[in-house]
Amino acid sequence: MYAKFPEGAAHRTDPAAAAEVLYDAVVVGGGIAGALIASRLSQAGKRVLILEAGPAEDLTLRGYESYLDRFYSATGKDNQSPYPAGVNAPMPRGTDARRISPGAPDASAYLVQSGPFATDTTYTRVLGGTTMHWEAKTLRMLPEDFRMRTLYGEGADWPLTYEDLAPYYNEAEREIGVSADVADQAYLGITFDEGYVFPMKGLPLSYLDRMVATDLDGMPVELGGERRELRVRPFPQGRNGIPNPAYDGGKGYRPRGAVSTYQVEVGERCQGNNNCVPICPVQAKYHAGKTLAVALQSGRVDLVAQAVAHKVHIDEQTGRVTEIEYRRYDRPDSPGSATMRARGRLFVLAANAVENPRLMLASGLRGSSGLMGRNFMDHAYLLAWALLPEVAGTFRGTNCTGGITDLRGGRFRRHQAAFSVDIHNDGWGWARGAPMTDLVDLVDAGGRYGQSLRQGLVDRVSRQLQLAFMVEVPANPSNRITVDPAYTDHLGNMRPILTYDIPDYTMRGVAYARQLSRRIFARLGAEDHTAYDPDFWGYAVHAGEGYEIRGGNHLAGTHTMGSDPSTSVVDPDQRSWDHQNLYLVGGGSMPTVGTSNVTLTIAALCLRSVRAMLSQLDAETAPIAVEVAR
Amino acid sequence: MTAPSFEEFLRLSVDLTAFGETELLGTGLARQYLAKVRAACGDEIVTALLDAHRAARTEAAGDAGDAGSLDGILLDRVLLDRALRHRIFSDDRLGPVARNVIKLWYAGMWYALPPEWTDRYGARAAGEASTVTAASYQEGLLWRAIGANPPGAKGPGYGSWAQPPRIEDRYLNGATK
Amino acid sequence: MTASTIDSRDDLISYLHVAMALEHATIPPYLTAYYSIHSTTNSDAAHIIRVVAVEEMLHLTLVANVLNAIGGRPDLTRPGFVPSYPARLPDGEDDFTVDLRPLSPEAVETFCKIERPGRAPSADARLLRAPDGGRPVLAFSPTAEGMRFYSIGEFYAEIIEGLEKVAAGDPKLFSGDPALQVGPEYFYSGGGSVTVVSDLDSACRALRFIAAQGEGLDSGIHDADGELAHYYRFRQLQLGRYYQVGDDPDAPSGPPLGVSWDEVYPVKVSARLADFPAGSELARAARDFNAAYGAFLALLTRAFNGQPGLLQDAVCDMFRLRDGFNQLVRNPLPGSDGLHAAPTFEIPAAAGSDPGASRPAGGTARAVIR
Repeated sequence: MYAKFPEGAAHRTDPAAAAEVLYDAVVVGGGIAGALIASRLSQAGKRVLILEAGPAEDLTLRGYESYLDRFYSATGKDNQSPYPAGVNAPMPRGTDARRISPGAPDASAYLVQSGPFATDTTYTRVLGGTTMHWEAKTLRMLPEDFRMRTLYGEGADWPLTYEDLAPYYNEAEREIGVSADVADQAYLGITFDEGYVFPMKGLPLSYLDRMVATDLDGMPVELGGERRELRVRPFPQGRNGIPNPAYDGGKGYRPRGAVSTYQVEVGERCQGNNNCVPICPVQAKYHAGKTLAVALQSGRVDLVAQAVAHKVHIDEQTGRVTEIEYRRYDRPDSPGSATMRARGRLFVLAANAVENPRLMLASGLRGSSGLMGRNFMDHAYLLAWALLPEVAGTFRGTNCTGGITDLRGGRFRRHQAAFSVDIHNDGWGWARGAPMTDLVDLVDAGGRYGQSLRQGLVDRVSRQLQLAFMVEVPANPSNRITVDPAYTDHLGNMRPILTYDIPDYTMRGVAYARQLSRRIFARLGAEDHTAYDPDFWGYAVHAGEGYEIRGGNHLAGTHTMGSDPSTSVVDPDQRSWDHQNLYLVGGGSMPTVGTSNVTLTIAALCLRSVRAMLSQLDAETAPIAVEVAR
Repeated sequence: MTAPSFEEFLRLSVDLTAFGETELLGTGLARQYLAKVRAACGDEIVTALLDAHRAARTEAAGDAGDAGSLDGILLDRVLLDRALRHRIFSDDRLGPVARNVIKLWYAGMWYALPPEWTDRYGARAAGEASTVTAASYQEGLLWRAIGANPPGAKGPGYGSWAQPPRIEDRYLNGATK
Repeated sequence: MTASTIDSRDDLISYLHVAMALEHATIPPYLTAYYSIHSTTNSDAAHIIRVVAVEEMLHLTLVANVLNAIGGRPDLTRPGFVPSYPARLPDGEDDFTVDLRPLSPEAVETFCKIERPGRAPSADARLLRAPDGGRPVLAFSPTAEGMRFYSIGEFYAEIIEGLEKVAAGDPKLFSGDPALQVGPEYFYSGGGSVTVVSDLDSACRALRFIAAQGEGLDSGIHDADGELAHYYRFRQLQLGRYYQVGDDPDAPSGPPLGVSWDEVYPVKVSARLADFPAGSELARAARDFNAAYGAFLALLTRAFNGQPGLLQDAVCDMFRLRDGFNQLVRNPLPGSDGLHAAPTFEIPAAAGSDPGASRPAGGTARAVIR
């Protein structure tokens, strides 16, 4: 039987009563990081309190359908469109992005951007966090991504290796329910345990992918003194496919169910709704609500939502965290809140790589290394778009089933950034708002109607190919999150300020990506329609050429891990160097982002950290009393 | 003035969209769409649009029949196309409305009329850009025209994306560089 | 005690063919009610009906597995496999009519009757004489002429006893080709998963699951997995409240549930092609639907005869049928006083429907180019 989200769990914990409880762990954030940690700690018998900034709504089928309805009814369908935008826990929105004039920060939206480069990066503040809208592409990082400084003199080394993380990748893939085939995913040094199979079989490549592959596979590329041949490769995906009977030594895998139906459902298989972002209508895609439901079933996890963390309080003598002060708002859409506190033996900040450092900095905790909030990373996306010579049936499948991953690693990384390339099953949607923009243009400007309109749409939309180059951005201390009392939100919380520029290293990768796209289009016989608009908010010039650069919502690097307290914020267990009972978890801990979407690695890191949290909890009895007595 | 006729709106829609009556009624939204156009533009303009369409069909039918008994008569497509262009699409008042009706059927969304139109013929609250219902997005004909589902609805099934799209041959074959 | 009507493997095969037709026969009525619901309304009722319909597909697959396990050949294309609606189902001493209806109190009443627990008062009463003249009752005995069963539960009880009896005398009863079995990787949705049938034990487990999931026989309103039997799921629509574990059958205590009976297309009850204006676009759409449904059944037949991977394509077919279904129910049916059209499920005789034709020789899988 599938565990559904317990009725009332999102609002039954009384914050005042919770303040009197000394929890084993207080977790800030009900996204994948917080949900995983809460579920594992509670399995081990620990009591956990989750503070969630989003609305106090149970994750129910009906609630999920209200997300869907909001999405269907929205005139603009950006990646936050299904989710309620509250005034008390505002969300950055892709549509907020504006070009930034030098010296004039853009404070028009929640995320203050001081530039010089503007980004449309977002995160979602509801239960389940950004996994509600994520695409669920679950690439492992390459072994070399963990040793960038040693191997290529660029970026940083991790205090962990791929091998250290591999068992947790396995566990994360089980939790998320990844569909992929090992034969497709073992490349550029990625290894799997003997006999390992993914929980579910790989999703088939789209017709569009196959059409691209027909011409592209075998295309030679010389780079960094190495020759390689490109090919279209399926991506691993965190959505329900066909269970692999060989999983877990032949025990098989049972796909995780829908959040909650009164009739037990074991969860839909992916139907190809082509809407992974912003919302899968049948919950075939994993989201952290599925893990939260299990955690809340334990009876040892309390949840207070509409709770925005305000300040981390520290014992001046010991440096330990004593409590987290939060603002509990009464209603998502109007002012009115109370100040509450949460106490625990451990504290886990699992908000995200923007909100974690925002909270620390707003609490006056800059870190002894001075690195809190620094080294902000995301992926820089470059899009290139073209029309294929034949109808490819674009706009079918999951958002993305295949791409080119051969340039994720290699010696060229001494000189320029690596990238992974997505073949977008949703055509020029991201670049140019297709297919609605095509429709409007054909009708209004093209004078099309009736059969000529139908013909025009097939000619123009069903042949679309969009390549998205996801280019790595190395850590740079001046890319950072800060706070300023001049910028606060409705609850009096200081808003995050992002200072961000795209390093030359990344721009060299971008420029190379554009060149490569031209070669690919030529090889496919595709008409290149790529044109970068100088008025675009993310327009960046490199070596005389201009490019449109977009954000990836792959937030990372603001409390990086390391083995030296003077050059990192957390240790390899994601424990704060400065505050013994504080863990800052998630993408913020990552020293490099490589060319993987970050969620799988975040999950693996959190699963690994649970071990340290449990041994710390077991080692420390009545920690506060003991420490204070000393 | 009598209210614009639903049947005539449907007949206009068939000519504007190249989808059959059964397909248009099959969206379950034809009546709501007529109501939307009336609310956004006013009955006078809708009636004028339907009148113009009837006249265009009469013109295309030549001597074969009068406007009252056009059903089942094979219209001259070339003549009809010209008549629609002359009487509707090039008309200051009717052209933008007809184009909006097309977009309404194809996108399930009412687009705001151009400012030069509202300056001249009046702006109404119902004329703002809006989705008609949560269902209308899902019923957009655009998706059917390209053999796809509206993203987020009407999922075609696991693995269907690996197959060629189901697009009528006549539109497939027309695709040229 | 009435003598068993099952004496041989052939008898069992005949019974399992009837069982497949019976499991399938509930699907068109459920789908008609489900698709009559206005888009984005009646979420509670829609989910309940949809999950039951999906589970009937599971039942169909389970019966096919049992049939294959004893060397039968599932065939969903044989004439009469899809009943002509209204069909008749047993309800104890009486039988009742199953129509293709829009979501309505009458439809829900019918669904409850379809799934109602029905145990014959005595072993003697399991088999009853089918009424003369009228339409055949779907749970009939293929071996005892003119006889039908007291209930669907009794029908399955007869098959299970028959399996036990024949298996006792025939150690080679379960000698069907294992490659024909549909495994859980090919089908999951709703509660329960596919049982691969290889012996008496797994066969009985599969059939008991069908009876229990429908009627909740022996297991109360919830089964061991906490799943609510179909009968009680539909009762929720009548009682206006969800059940919780431990509830009395007459008094569900879960959250309230509302049905908007008006948010439904008023489709003509058990419409026939003859009701459609001859030569109309709409008639063509209805005919196209029936042909597509026939093709779907032919595809399932191939899936159950050695190509289980085709179930993936069958699911895609179901989704296309959904779009055709929706189109029909939203169209008024001319000359029917404002009632709407609906699929008629009059399946045209298909060419090449012999399942043996696609059965690979010697049980080895043969690549079939579709």
